[in-house]
Amino acid sequence: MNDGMHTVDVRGLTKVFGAGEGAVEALRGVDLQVARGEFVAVMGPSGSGKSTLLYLIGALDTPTAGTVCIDGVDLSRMDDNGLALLRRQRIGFIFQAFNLLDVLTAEENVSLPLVIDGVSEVEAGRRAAESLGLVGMSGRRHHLPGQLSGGEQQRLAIARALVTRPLLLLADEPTGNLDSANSDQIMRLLCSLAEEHGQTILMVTHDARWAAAANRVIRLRDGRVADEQTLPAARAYPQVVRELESQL
Amino acid sequence: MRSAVARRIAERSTKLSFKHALLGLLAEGPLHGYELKTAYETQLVPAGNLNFGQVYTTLERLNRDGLVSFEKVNQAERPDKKVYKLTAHGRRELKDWLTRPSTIELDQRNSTFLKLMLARRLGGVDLMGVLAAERRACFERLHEVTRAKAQAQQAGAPLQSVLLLDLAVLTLEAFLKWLDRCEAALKQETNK
Amino acid sequence: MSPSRLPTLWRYSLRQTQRRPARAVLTLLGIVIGVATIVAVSVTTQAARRAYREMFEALTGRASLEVVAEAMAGFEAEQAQELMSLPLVMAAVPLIQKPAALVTSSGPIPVTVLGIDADRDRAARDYELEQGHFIGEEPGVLLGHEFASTHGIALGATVRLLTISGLVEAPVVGLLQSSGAARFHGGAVVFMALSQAQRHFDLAGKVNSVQLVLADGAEIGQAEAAIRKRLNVGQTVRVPSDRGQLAQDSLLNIEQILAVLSVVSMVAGAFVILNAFQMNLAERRRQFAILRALGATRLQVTSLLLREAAAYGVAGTALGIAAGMAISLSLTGGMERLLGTAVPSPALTLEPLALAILLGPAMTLLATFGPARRAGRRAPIDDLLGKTPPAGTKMPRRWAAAGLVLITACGLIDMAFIRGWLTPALGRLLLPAAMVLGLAGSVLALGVVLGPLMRLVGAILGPLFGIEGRLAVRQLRRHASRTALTVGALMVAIVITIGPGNEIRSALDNLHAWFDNVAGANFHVLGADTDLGFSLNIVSLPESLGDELAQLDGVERVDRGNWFPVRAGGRQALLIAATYSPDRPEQLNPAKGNPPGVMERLALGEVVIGTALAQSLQLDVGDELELATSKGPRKLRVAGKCNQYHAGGMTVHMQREAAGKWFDLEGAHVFSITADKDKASTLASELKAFCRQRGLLLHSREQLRRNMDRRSAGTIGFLWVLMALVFVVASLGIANTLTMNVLEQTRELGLLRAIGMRRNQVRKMVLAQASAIALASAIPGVVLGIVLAYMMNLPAEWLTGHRPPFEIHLWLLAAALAVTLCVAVVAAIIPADRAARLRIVPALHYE
Repeated sequence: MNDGMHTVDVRGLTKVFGAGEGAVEALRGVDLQVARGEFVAVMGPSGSGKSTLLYLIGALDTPTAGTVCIDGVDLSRMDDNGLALLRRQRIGFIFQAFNLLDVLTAEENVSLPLVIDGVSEVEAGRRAAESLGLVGMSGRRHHLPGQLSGGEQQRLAIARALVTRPLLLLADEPTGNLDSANSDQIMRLLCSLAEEHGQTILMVTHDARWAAAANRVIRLRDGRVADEQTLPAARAYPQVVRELESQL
Repeated sequence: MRSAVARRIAERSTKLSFKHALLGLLAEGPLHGYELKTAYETQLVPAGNLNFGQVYTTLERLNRDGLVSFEKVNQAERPDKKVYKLTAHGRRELKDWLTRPSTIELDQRNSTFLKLMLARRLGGVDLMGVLAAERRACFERLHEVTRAKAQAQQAGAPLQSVLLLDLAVLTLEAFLKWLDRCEAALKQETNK
Repeated sequence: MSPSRLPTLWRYSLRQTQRRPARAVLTLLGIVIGVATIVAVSVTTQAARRAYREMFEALTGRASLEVVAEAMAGFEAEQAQELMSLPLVMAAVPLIQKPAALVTSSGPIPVTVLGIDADRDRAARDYELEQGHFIGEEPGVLLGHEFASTHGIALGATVRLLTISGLVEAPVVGLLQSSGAARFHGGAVVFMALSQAQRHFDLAGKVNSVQLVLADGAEIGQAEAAIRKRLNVGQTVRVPSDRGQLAQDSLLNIEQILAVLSVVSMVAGAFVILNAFQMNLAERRRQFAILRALGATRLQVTSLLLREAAAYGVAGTALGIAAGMAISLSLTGGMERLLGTAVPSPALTLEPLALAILLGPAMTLLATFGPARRAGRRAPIDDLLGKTPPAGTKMPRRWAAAGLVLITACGLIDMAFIRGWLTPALGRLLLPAAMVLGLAGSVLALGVVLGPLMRLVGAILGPLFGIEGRLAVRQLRRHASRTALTVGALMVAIVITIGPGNEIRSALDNLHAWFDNVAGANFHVLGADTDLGFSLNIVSLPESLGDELAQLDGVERVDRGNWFPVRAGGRQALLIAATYSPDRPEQLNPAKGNPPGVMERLALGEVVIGTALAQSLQLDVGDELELATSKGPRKLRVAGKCNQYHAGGMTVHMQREAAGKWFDLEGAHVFSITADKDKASTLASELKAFCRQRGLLLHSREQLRRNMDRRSAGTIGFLWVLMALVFVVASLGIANTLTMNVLEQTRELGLLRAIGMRRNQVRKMVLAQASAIALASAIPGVVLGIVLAYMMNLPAEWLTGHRPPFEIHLWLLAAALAVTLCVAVVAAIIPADRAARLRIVPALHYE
C-alpha cells in the first residue's frame, strides 16, 4: 500500500451509536483505501454499517475510534469549520433521497455549493450551467425539483455534487428511489464519470446490480469488511452479447 | 399418450424453436432459403451461425406438414430457386404457438449447487471459502455484463441485445441472492 | 461574507417565506403588535406631556421667563417697567392671561383671554393677520382664523365672553393666522387690548403676568436670580412651561397602566414569534442539513436564519411604527378628552423611534437567536436521512431554568418593592420590568408544569371529548415546546386582560366611590369644563352669582369653590378651597388613620392634603406644609390626609375663608348647589334657564359623573382594543400550531380514517386540541392575571399615596375565559376542516 497517496484512507474505523446496554456497534474496525480515479462500491445488507462508513468518510459524522484521511489529511484534526470547508470543496454528495432544496430552481440548486463557498453569483451560475450540461439537464435549468422526474432530480443532484469539481464523489444508494430505467441512466452517468473523467467515486449500495458497475467491490458484514474484490477490466460489449446469443 | 405430452412439453420449451423462428420470419412475406438465413441472422439471433442444410431440412419438413408452400422461380443463368410462403395452416400454427405460454424450463443443473452440497457433506473443505469463490466468480460475470450493458446502451445497440444483457444481469443477480441465502442457511446450520 | 453571494440564499429565504404566507404574517403580526403598542403608548404619552408644555411655550413666544403672583392674581402694571431696567432683560411684556368661556349657541367653550399691550407685545410674540385689522384701545378681539371658522364666527361678528364681570360682548376685528400664540390652547385664544382685559377682569391698572425676553446670551438661571430679588411678596418668577406639572401628575396612573400593557404585549408578541420561528425551523431541518452537507458552516446556517429573522424584525418594526402612529392618532383623541384640552398631534420623536428600532429587531432576534443557533449546531446526518420523524419536541431544560430565574428576579423586585427598599422613581422603572420578567419567566417555565397541566386538562376534557380528547391531548404533549409557546401566548393575552383589566375596573370603581363622596351637592354651576391640569379652563365667576343662585326657589345652600395650582413644599399642587362642613366629613374622602377632629381643625385654618402630596413631601398629620401664598411663604399645619383623584392626589384642601386670607381669590370657580329635598327637579329647570341666560355651564351630579366616564372612555377603550388585538394574535398562534399539528399528523389521521374514524371525529379531535390549549392557558392565565393585577395595585401606594383595596372582578375572569374559549375554537375551524377533508390514500403515503 502506498500510504498517503490514497484519496481515501480509512484505518480501524469504529462507530458506536448510543451507550451502555443499548449501544450499537455500526462499524468495528474498518480499513479501506480508495486510490485516485477508482470507482469503489461498498455493499452489504442493511445494518451492515455501509452508510455509516460513507458519512464518516464524508465528514458528516465523527468516528468513535480510528481515522479517516481524505487526500492525506486526517479529519480528526479538523474543527467543524474545517470539515465544512472540506465538504464544500473536496467532496460531492449524492443521496438516495436526492436532498434538493425544493424552492430553488435546478440551476440555483446546482450553484448552491459554490454560493456557500463564496464564489460570485455570476461565476457560480456559469459553472452550474456547465455542470447541468454534463448530466444532460441543460434544458431544465429553470425548473423546480418538484417539476422534475425522480431520475432528473438525481441527475440534478449529481450535477450539484460535481459543480465544485470534487476530489471525491460519495454516493449513498443513488438509485434507491428510482425505477430501473432511471437507475440504468444514473449508473451509466457514474460509469462514464469514472471512465472518461477519472472521477473518484465511492458508492454505497445493497444491490449487486449497481455495485457490479464499480471497479472494486467491498462487502461489509456486521461492521467489518467481509470481502474485497477487484473486478477485471470488462470486455467490449459486442463480444459479450455474441457469447450470450450463442447460448440461446 | 406419453409421446403427446412429451411433444407438447417440447413445443412449449423456452429453448429456441427453430421451426417457429422460420414460420415467424415468413409471416412478414415470402422468402427464399438464402434470404431466410440472412433474416434470421440479422433480425433474430445475430450470433446464430446457421448452416444451409439445417434451413432446408426444416423447410422441407414444414412443407411436408402443410405449414409452408413454395413456388419455383426461374433464374436466367442459375438453377430455379424456391420461394417459400406461409400456408393458412402455417399461419394458424404460428399464431397458436405465439399465444400458447411456454413451459418455463429451469436449468437447475449448475455445478455451484453440487459443489456446495458436496462441500457441506465432506469434512476438511472450507464451505464458506467455496461459497465466496463462487460469489466472486459470479460477481465478475455480473460486472462484465453490467458494463457491457452500459456500453451497449451508450452506443445505441439494438434493443434485442440490451434485453438479452438485461436477462443475463437479472439472472446473475438472482443467482447472487441465492448465494446469500445459501450462506445464511449454511451458517445457521454450522452454528447449530 | 461577500455580498455577491447574498442573492441565491436570499432568494431561498424569500421563497421559503412565500411558501408559508400565513406563518410569515403571524411572525410579522407578533412584531407589529409589540412595536405598535410601544410606539403608540410612547408617542401618545409624549404628546400628552408635551400638550401643556408646548402650549405654554406657544403662548410665551420669545419670552423665557414669566413673573406671576400666586393664584395668578393681579399686580401693579408698573412692575413691568421696573423689570425692564434689569440689564439681563431685553423686554418685559405686561400681560393679562385669564381663562374665560366663549358663549356660543351650542354652549360655553373654554378659552384663554390674552390682554396684550399692542406695542410692547411684539417683543415676545408675532401676529400675522389673516383678515381684518389689529386691536386698538377700543373694544374688539382677535381670534385665530381656524378656531373662528370651526365655531362659525366670522370677522365682524360679536362674541360673548363669560368673565368675572359677567357676560361681556366684543366684536371680532381681526382673524390671525394659526401660528405662534394663536395656536395656544388648541387655538382657543381670544386676544384683546390690555385695557379692555383690565376692565373685563376687574383688574384696573393691573396685569397678572409679565413675560420677560432676555438679552442675547443671558443665562436663564442668572436672570431668574436677579429678577427674584426685585419681586414683591407673593410673586414668583418661573419658566412658563412649568405650568403643566399638575396634569402630568394626574396622568401618572394611566401612563403606568399603558406602560405595563405595552411591555406585556411585547412579551406576547415575542412568544408568538418564537413559536412561529420554531415551527419554521422544525419544518426546514432537512434543508439545513442539506446546506451543512454541502459544506455550509454552522455559522453560515445560523446567520442565514438570523438574517431572515432580522428581515422580519425590520419589516415588522416598520409596519409596527406605522400602525403605532395610526393607533396613537385615535389614542390622542382619547387623551384630549381625558385632559380636557388640545393635545398636539402625535409626532414620531427620536425616543419612541429609537425604542421601536431597538426593541422590534431586538425582540425578534432575542426570540430567534436560540433556535437559530441550535439549528446551526444540529448534526446533519439524522435530519438529512429524514430518519428522525419529527417526533416529540421537548421544551429545552434551559428554558425552564431561565424561566425560574426570571420569576425569581420578578419576585425579588416585588419583595424589594413591598418592603419599601426602592425609591419611587426606581420602582416605577423596575416594576414594569419585573412584570415582563415574571410573565416571560412563566411562559418559559410552562414546560415544567405542562405535563401535569395537560393531564389535568385531559381529565377535564376527557368526559367531554372521549377518545378524540385523549388523542388530542397526546398530540399536544408530544410537542411540548410548541404547545407551551402557544399556550404561553394565549396565557399572556388572558393575563393582560385580567391584570390591567382588573386594575382599570378597580380604578373606575374607586373613582366612582370617590366622586359620590366628594360631589355631595345636587348641581354645579361653572364657567367651563375644567382641564386635568386645572390651569386653562378655570373661569372665575362673580361672587354675586352665588347670592343670585341662593335666591332661587328650592335652593337649600350654595357653596363656593376655587381650584388653582399652588406651590406646596416646592411642588406643584392643586389647592381646593371649598366649604367643608363638619357634618359631612366624607366630602373630603378622608384617608384611613386620620385623627378625630379633622374637620374642626380645618375650620381653624389648617389644611388637609392629598395622600400623593403627603407621600411626595413625606408629610404626616401634625407636620407643617409650606405653602407659597400671596402673602409669602406660610407654614400650615396638616390636619389630615385624604384620597383624591384630582391632580393625581397632589391636592391641598382648605376652607374657602381661610384660602381667601392667603390668596386673592378673584371670584369663585364653582357654585355647588344643594337643593331642598323635594324640590330638586323643579330647581333643575329653573337653574337651566338661569344658566342659559348668563352663559353658564350647569351640571347635575349625575351629568358630572357621566362626563367623568366619558372623559376616560377613549383611553380605556384603547386598552380594551389592545387586549383584543393580543387575543387576535394569540388566536393566530393557535391556528398556526393546530395547522402544523394537523400537517404532521397527516399520516396518523389517514390511518385513523382508514380504520373507520369519521370526518366529524377528526374535526372533533382538532377542536379538542384547541379546547385543551384554551384550558391549559386559562388555568395558569387566571392565576397569573390575578398576580399581575396585584402587582399593578402595589405601586399605587406611592404613586397616589394610598392603595385602593385589592379586589378581583369575577365577571372579568369569566369574560376572559369565555373569550379564550371562543378564540381557540374560532382558530380551530380552518385546521379542523383541513384535517377532516384529508384524502385517505395520499394521507397514508404522506411523508
